[in-house]
Amino acid sequence: MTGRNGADLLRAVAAHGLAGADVPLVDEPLDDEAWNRLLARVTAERLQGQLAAAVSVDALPATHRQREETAQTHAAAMATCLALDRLLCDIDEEFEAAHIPMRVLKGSSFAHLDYGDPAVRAYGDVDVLVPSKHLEQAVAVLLAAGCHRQVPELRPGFDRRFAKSLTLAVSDGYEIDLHRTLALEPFGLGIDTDDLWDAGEPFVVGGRTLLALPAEQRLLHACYHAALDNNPPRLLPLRDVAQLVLEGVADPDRVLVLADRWGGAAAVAQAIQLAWSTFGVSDVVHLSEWAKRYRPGPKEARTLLVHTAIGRRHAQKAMAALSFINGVETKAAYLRALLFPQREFLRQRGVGHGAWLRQGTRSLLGGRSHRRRHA
Amino acid sequence: VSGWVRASGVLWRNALDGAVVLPPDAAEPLVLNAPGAALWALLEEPYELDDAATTLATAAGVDVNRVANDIATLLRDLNDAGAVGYQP
Repeated sequence: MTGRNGADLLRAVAAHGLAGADVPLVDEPLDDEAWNRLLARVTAERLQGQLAAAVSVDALPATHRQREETAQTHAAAMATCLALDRLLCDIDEEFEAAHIPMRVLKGSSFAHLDYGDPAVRAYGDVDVLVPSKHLEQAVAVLLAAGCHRQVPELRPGFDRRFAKSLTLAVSDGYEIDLHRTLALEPFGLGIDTDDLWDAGEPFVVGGRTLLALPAEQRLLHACYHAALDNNPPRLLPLRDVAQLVLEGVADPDRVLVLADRWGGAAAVAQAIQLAWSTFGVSDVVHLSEWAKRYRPGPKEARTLLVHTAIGRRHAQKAMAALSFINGVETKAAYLRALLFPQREFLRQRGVGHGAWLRQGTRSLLGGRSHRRRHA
Repeated sequence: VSGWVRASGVLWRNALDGAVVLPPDAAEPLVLNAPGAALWALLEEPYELDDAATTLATAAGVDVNRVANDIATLLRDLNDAGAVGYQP
């Protein structure tokens, strides 16, 4: 038994193997109750790779049973990763035949390129990027291959112009996130998608060469994901941020140029600061120093708040996104899609058009009163 | 160079005390223990059965006759699963 609380221990597991991190593990095996709790949380947070690495070198002392359970849990996670890698190769083959360019995002690319051993980084779905102009074709290819779309498009053409990604389900229960950019609006609309198609970084999976984003764009994606996609931020995305920054492959100056061009510097700084504080990283590098000093301007701070504040609704994010959309006609198309979704979308959501509008209005008014309360 | 070698398109990961291997057409992965993973590491390049047995026995500090049968059985299982093949 130890005095460490569960959250600290989970954080220490997530930080295991990270150069410069200072989150100590324990000196002796946990008791059954604490172990069972830890194992459940490790599985939920997809930290099986870090746990196995910590147990394998006795950084986390384990009883025979705990070691066995770690091995089983890790092997199950790796079996999922291998099945997803096979799916990834199948998608790449389909897209290649259809002449659709593709980049692998997050999970498999981080595991193969940014961790010394891909067995340390578990993942639970497939994320791929295609150019906006190929998005509809890519959906058609995957539908023809037996995937099915979970949520209909808001309006025809909306995904290609404005969406971050859409999700397709595969018959064996896995999911494919088909991206055209890296973040939800408003941040996603600030990203210059041409920057995502710089020469990709190759890695080999099952003898097939796949392409990931270049190191700088990969790091920016890790930051967006860590800072924006969950509140509170999750440990594995924060570990990715620390891992990619400390690995030092990405050119920090190029990272900052892109972050600035995409209007995402506040999110990037927040992700790096959070990763450093969560894992007690003592190493000072160019990006960590920059993140510590960074002060977002008023518009950036508002955008970040809209994106991350608990309880913020999609409608509020959508309104904030308008400032990132250039041109009256494009703004109008965006608003038209939000206000008048196609019937299939509403039917799937189980609401009529009137109820949809009322929900959006309540959401926006809720946002205003929230701001007033905190003014 | 002839010998037993990993099949083209096989996917695998290191595991705690072993390896997880997913052959190209298999529905389920194979979970190898530590000796199995040692053989798997070797088969990145072609190895004849006798050479593999000698190499692994030497590494483990045991008599080659003690491990030869086990390695032959494991190779046969991996071959049946489509994880390895013999390169003539």
